[in-house]
Amino acid sequence: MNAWLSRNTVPILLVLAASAVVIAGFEILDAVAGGPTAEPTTETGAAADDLQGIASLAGLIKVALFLLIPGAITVAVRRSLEGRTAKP
Amino acid sequence: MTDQSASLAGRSGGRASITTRVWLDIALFIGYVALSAPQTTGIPFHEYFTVVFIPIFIAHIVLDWAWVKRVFRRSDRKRSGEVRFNRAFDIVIFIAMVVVIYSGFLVSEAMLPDLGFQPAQSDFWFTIHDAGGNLLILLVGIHLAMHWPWIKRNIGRIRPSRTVAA
Repeated sequence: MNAWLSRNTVPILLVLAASAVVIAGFEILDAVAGGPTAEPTTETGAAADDLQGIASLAGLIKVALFLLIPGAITVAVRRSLEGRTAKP
Repeated sequence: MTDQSASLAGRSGGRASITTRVWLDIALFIGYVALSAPQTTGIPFHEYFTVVFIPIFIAHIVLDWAWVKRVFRRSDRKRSGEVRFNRAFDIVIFIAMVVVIYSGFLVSEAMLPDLGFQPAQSDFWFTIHDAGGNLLILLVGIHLAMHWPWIKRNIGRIRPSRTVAA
C-alpha cells in the first residue's frame, strides 16, 4: 500500500489539486450567488413512517432509472453512429 | 474505457493489472449506487460511506493514469471523436463528483455534527448537492455506456475459470 502510494504520489496530488480548484470555483460561485440559510422542514408521526417506506423504494428505483435510461440511449446512439460510419 | 482508449493505455504501460482495475471499478459502482440512494440507505450511511468512497474514486482515476496522461497529451491531438468525447465527458464527471461530495459535507446532517461541527445549512449547497447528485447519476449512466466495450471485455477476466474434467 505504501509502495503504491509513493509510486502514485504525483497523480494523487494532481487529482487533489484539481478537486481544490473545482471547490474554490464553487465557493466563489456561492459567495457571488449564494442564497439565505435554509430552515429544515420535517414530517413527523405515522405520515413520516409511510413517507420513509415509499422514499426508500423510490430512491432505488430512481437510481436504477437514472443509470439505465441515459446508458441505454448512449448505447443506441453509439451503435447507430458505428453503423453509419462502418464501411460496407 | 473503449477499445481504442484501452489500447492507448496499454501502449503507455498502465501499472495496475486489469483484474485490479475491474475489481476496483465494481467496488466503485456498488459504492456509488449505495451512495446515490440515501433514502434507502439512510443519511448516516450516506455520509460515513462517502469517506470510504473518496479513496476508491481517487484510485479509479490514478489506476488509469496512463490513459489520462495519454489522452491529455498536447501533441496527441489526432484522437478519434470518441476519445475526445470521453476526455471532455470525464472532466465534467470529475467536476460533478467533486462538487457533489464537497457540497455533501457542507450540508452534513449526521457525520459532521457527530464530530462536533455544525455546518451552516445553506440553500445554495443544498440545491447544488441535490441537483448535482441527480445529474451525476445520469452522467455515470452515460460514462458506463461509453466504456461498455471495455467493461464487457474485461469483466470475463475475473470470472472463475471452468476446469474441464479429463
